[in-house]
Amino acid sequence: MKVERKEERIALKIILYIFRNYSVYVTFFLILIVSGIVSRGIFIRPTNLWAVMLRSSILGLVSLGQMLVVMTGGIDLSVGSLFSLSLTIMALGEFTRINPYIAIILAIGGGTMVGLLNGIIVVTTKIYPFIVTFATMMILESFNLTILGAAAFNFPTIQGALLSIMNFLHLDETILSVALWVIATSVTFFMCRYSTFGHNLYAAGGNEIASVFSGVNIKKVKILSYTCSGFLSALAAVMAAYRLGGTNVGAGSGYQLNSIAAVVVGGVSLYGGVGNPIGVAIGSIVIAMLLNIMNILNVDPFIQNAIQGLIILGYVALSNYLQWLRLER
Amino acid sequence: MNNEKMIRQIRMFLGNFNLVPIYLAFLLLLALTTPEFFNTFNLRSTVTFSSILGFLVLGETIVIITKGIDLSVGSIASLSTVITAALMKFYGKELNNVLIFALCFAISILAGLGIGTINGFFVSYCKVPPFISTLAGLLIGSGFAFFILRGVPTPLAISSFRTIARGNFLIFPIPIPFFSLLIFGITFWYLLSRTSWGKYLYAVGGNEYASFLSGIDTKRIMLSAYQVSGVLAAIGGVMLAALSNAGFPRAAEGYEFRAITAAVIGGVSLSGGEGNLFSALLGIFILTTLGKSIIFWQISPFMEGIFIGSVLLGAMYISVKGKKKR
Amino acid sequence: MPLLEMKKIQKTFLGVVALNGVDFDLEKGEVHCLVGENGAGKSTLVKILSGAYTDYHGEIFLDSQPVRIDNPRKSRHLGIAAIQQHRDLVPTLNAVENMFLGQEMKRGKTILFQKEYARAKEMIAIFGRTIDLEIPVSSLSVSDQEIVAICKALLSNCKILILDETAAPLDRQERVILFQKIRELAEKGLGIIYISHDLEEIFEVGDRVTVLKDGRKVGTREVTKTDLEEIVKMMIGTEQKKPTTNKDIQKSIQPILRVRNLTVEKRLKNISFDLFGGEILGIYGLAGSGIEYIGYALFGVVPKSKNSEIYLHENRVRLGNPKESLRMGIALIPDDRRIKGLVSTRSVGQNIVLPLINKTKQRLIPSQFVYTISREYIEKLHIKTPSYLQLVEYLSGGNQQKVLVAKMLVTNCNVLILIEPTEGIDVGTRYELYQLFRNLSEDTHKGLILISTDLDQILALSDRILILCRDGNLREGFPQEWNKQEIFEMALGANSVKYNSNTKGCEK
Repeated sequence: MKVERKEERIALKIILYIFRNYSVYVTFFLILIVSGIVSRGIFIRPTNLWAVMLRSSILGLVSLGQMLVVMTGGIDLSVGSLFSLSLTIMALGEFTRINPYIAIILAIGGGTMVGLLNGIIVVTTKIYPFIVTFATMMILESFNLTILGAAAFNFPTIQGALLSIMNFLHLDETILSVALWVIATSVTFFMCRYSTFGHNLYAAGGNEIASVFSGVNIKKVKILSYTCSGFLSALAAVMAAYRLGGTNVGAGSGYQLNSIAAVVVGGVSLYGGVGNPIGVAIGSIVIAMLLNIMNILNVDPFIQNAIQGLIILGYVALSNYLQWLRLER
Repeated sequence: MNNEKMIRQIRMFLGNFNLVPIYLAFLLLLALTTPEFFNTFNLRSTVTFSSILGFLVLGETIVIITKGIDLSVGSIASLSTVITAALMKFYGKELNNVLIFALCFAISILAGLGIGTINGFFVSYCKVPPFISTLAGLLIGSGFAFFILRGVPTPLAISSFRTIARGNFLIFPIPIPFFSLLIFGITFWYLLSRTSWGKYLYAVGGNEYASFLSGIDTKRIMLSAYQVSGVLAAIGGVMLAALSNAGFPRAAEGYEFRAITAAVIGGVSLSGGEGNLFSALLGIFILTTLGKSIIFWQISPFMEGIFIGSVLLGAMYISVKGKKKR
Repeated sequence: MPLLEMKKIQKTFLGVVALNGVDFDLEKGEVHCLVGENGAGKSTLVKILSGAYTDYHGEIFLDSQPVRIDNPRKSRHLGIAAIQQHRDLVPTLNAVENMFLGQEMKRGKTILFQKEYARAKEMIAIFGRTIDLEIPVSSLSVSDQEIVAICKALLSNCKILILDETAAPLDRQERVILFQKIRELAEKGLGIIYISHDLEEIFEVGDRVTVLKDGRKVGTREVTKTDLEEIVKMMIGTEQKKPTTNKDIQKSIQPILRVRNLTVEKRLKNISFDLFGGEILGIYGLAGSGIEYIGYALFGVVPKSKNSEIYLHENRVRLGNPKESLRMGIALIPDDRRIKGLVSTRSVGQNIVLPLINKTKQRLIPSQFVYTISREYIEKLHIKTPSYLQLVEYLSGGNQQKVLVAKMLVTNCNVLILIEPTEGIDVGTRYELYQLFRNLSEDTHKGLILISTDLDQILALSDRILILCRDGNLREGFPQEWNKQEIFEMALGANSVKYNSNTKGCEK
């Protein structure tokens, strides 16, 4: 009787481990195969895959920031509006005819600053992160709306500047964006594994009180993660700017949901302390593929969102269930 | 002694006491700066709109008392507007009006109950964080809302339905939504403060484990909170359809945050176990008045979000600070 | 025919045995005391009876009927009411609402508040108290909260009443009333299970006493036919050899740590003491006296007031946060390893290096670094783990505690503060750790501060003892000077009747 229980527990432990770490790969291949079939081959055409890669890279950058925040046990609902904010700043740059390169830097700087502000508010006031970032989201959306109005705004000068950067680097848009994404993911990966900040990040998310008792500066860790999230969202917006060629109010609105989905699918625990950048990168590809195939199949955005919601719910519920099984038995 | 008791009773009924003078002061300021705010039409529309949102606030408050949060109330309300519009479009000519009205309410309430049940089930039985579970509820709700009428804003086929939002209660100049909110508010105030169900809600929010040890079925209590919230949001949605005379998947988009903000202004603690329905309702009146008055101050209505966001942060800050002091 | 019979009760937590084949029985009209050291399994037994733990093995008979207690509702339905240590009150509800939670007085669906208030007032009046019934119980003092919890249990029409450390926060007078009440209830035919750390109480209220040790039952005695000595012997097991202190602390040498007027708001007032290198300084106080805050304040996790002065090697230091304390050479092994000690989602190695990497200014942590350090300490402390990559949550309690000790040893600090360092671990590990602490102070000449509510532990380990008395003052002495009884009475402040309820809060 007792031995059986022990074996059961070990089995559950292994299942949970596999689920946390490898389910994302399984999902990846499943979606790849299913997409190839249901789209009758459209999905696996090179041009489409190329588009998926661009989308994954932009979503991947945003999700990476989201991951850093979720790992501390928080959540950043403002990533989408931060994305829009950066585009708005570039539009403002175009409008005021300042040097486009400066506008791009300002766009990234602006996003980073708002991320920093999120972090500072979260640690100093102790308000729940999702309330803080939600308020930021509302404020930023309202700001974007005030600046842009309901109309779309193009920024050819910025686009030109981005093009000349690409020409200078001899890279095309997708490659540049993917390269940046790969670099950011690798840097985060190594940082998580081999730096004090990384160790502190995992510890702070896993058990905040124990981390304080181990000398971890929780406030610094949290502020840094929100700042990184702001920076990465802004960077993603700049990467997307060339393809978009302009902006409107809803430009970044999907990213909060997409990034949460990518992070959850990528095996990051919403309670903090568990996660890995590679998983999140694959998770971003999974969500990008899903969005792409749903577009090919002409699924309405509302239904797309509902499907994403179900995926998030299913993942969280399943991993909670496995965790519960392991602890209760 | 008796006097003290009376004051206590009033305080229990109204909850956060200092909101009333704040609201009055705000109204006074409005009266001094923008007297044009106080025309009958504007007042009526403010009261009506606040009352309809009030239904969402009621549900949201009940959920927050159990230490949860419900992000799906806006989308449930939107779904209800769509259901209302669709029922009228497809059956408006075949069935008589009263039956259609009843059907609109019944089916919307069923839908709200369904989504509320999903939310509550995942929160209480699967231990999914409330904001994730209800975010999924939000997305499912708006998915359905889109699915029914393909996202096309559809005007209501029966124009007399508008009376539900715009008419008066009997001969008095009281808008029907306000009157019905009053009835619902008093009913739920009674349920929350005078029955064991209400007491268990507070207990579960205050300390789930202690409640569990006291023999309360905490999971069912939590589930019921989300269900009630879904139902109330659905009723609010039908009234919203009557007010705007249309059904649209985006009709109540983002209203969940107005509801949360109102509750927080009303002193409902997001850490659970505390809160009063009437002060939360007062919160939504303050918020709506603020939103409406922005237009009179020649500020772009686009900036309303900046105001609501800042008010939310400020109110949260005060609430967290107050908690720490104790 | 016994009222309650429990046979071969067994309960494990993630592989750690908490109860191992315990038999227990309770007669009608008796007060059956349950004693044992921390982690002996008393609370586990209570939780099984109250329905909080449902995955136990063994049989329970109530009035000779076999029952299975699936949840707290079932337990209440069976007529079992338990007062558990500060767990059964909802902090946001007021006293009356708490008392009647789950057992409201109702007419139809409506709760009869007036009646409840009147009844509650009656109940509290029995204890000669006036408690504000309108405010949330979190604003009440601890002893008031305890009274509310007792009233709550008394209100339920129970057949079996369980009191777990109920008298601890009460003052002398209230205890007497409580004991009276317990005897009255027993005479009415209730079965009462009484759990206490204070062995004296057994002789005041008990009829029989059962001693638990390390999850096993040692034996049951009639109270009239036994004495304190026998019970203590049963609890401790083999007669503990008194470790003799063969060191002479030379008072002439400079203390490595001097603490003057250490004050923590609402918890501690003007605590002053010295710590010398090479000694173990035991600080003893009753549970709830706030002794652990001495450690917290020295480590910088709780703020201290401005007039507190701390000198390390004669240099005044601020110690504003744990990082600073670590850099200054002060390490803390906290109580409650699950909450304050370990990050359960991280591996053994990662847990071990965490304080070290925050102490040093090192930015990069190669795998080799984690490996070497954790390997060394896993061997040194005999931590049983398949690998340094194993998650700590999969280790047994004793090995987790060793990881906690290891992570603070790694920092190589001169002053090591231990708060309840052997909480919830098996005897073997406990003595291993005792040996380790001894060696640390003798061989490496570190200063150890042992903060504990376990008097035996204090006596077994300390070279010098500080006792935090009930009036908030420290008394200093050597373990040879006093016997257990004397120390206990000092901490209890037998002369001072009124207990300063501020020293303990309910939030935590």
